[in-house]
Amino acid sequence: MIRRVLLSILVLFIAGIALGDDCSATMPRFELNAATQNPTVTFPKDTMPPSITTGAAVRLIIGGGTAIDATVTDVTTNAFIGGSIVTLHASQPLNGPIQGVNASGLTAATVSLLPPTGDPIALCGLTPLNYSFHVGPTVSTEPSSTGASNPNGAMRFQFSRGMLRLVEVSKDATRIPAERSLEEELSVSVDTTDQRASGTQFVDDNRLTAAIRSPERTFGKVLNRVRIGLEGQFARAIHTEDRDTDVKIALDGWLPLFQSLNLLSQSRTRTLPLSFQISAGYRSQNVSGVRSGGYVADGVVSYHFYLFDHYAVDLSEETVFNDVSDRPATTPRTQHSYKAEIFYKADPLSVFSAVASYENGHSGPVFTKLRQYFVGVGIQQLFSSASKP
Amino acid sequence: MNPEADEPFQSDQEEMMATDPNSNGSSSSTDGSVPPAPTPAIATMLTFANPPQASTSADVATQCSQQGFTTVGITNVKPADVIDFSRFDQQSCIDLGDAIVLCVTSKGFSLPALGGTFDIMRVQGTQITFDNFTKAITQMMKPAVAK
Repeated sequence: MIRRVLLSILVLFIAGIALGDDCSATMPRFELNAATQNPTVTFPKDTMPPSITTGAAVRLIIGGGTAIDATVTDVTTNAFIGGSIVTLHASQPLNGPIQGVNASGLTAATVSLLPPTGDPIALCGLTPLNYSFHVGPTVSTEPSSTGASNPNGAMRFQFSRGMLRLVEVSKDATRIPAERSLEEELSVSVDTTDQRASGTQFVDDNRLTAAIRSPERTFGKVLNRVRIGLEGQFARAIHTEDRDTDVKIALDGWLPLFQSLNLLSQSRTRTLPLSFQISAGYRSQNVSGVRSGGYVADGVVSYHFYLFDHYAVDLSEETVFNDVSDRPATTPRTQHSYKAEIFYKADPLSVFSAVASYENGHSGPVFTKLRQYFVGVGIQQLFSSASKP
Repeated sequence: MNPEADEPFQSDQEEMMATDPNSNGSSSSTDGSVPPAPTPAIATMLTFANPPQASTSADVATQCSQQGFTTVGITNVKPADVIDFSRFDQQSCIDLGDAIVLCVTSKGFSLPALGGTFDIMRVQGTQITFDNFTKAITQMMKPAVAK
């Protein structure tokens, strides 16, 4: 029971972090203009308060810290999605360390705008700013359920703090910000209880993570926006000597030679080309006094193509290499998994919706929601195209 | 059709074209006479007061949109091509917006930041033709104000 409650809390905690990464279509976006560095807020249709007009005084609240004064300098009607794009002039630069501000909050989630009248508006931050952030309660002393073996329950402690920082390494103003800046990340998270773990009864997951990633680089038509990074993570239990250390090099980017194809289509739909993510490194473990270690690697490629003017197919393949010396007997050294998803749209400019997916890998094949008319419509399209003069 | 993607920029296209900074600088003769050659003094004024802008706002929008898509790895985009934002990731939306804004700014115009717009289009699953994409950029461009 206790394990179930703690697991639920942990799932909610992780979900809360994950939700901060992607924002809904109705949430205004916050970013810095690449040319002027002015803060900019993009309001989707029907979301901007009428009090925000050119010349209005507003305040930006970065990560729940002290409010920063700003003035609205421009309001442009958004010709893509309706709504407005609001450009601000802040009383202090936001692309450097924010002076005198005890700022905290998840970078991508807790920037808010205080309009001249009304409540603060939560913004989805797209530009990482140079300030520390924390996730979840600073110290949570949440009593867990009482169990037969634990009449007093357990107090749970959660703490997470991190810093995401962009370091400008090139002053070339013709390059986009992602090509000019290194990305540094440092985070600490503690998730434990006041009880010594017995089996897997209590959470005891504590991590220190550090990463540095290069600016994006493009090499002609061969490699696009490639980033290379060095990532390290040290995890250990407070109540035991168990620990786990990973150090790896990661590389990701796109391959423009493999543009998205349009097969048996009269129109041409374009999107990002084939993408890849590769990481490789060394894992060292100490579990219940047994030391082990070995090389680990992971690679993912993703590709999209379009069929019969109405279908999109997303393909991805992942290969995991695990050469850690004491891995379970059921875990092979190399594992492959594949996924194909099919999406349908009724009109050329309407939104795709998923109709079928197929996965295969070490967990076996999974085939879901195939609609019979996919093959039928495809053949119909093929014959109608062939019969046209 | 996706109304979110198409509707907004059909209304004031003509108004936008009227604000084209290059339309004022045109020196074409309409009565068939040959305009006199500029004197050195006039030529100097043309050089400094009216910097030559070889292209219109629509041309700049098209050129910078092409450059933006090339930045994110999508090459040789044609006007009738449909851009599928639903398969973009967030960083690609930001990079596309930044590349277009930097390009447009370098050609004497200003444009608000566009990463947020493209990110919303990503979440909405917007499909838009390249032709309509450049028309929307043209509508939002303004001549840069000299400081």
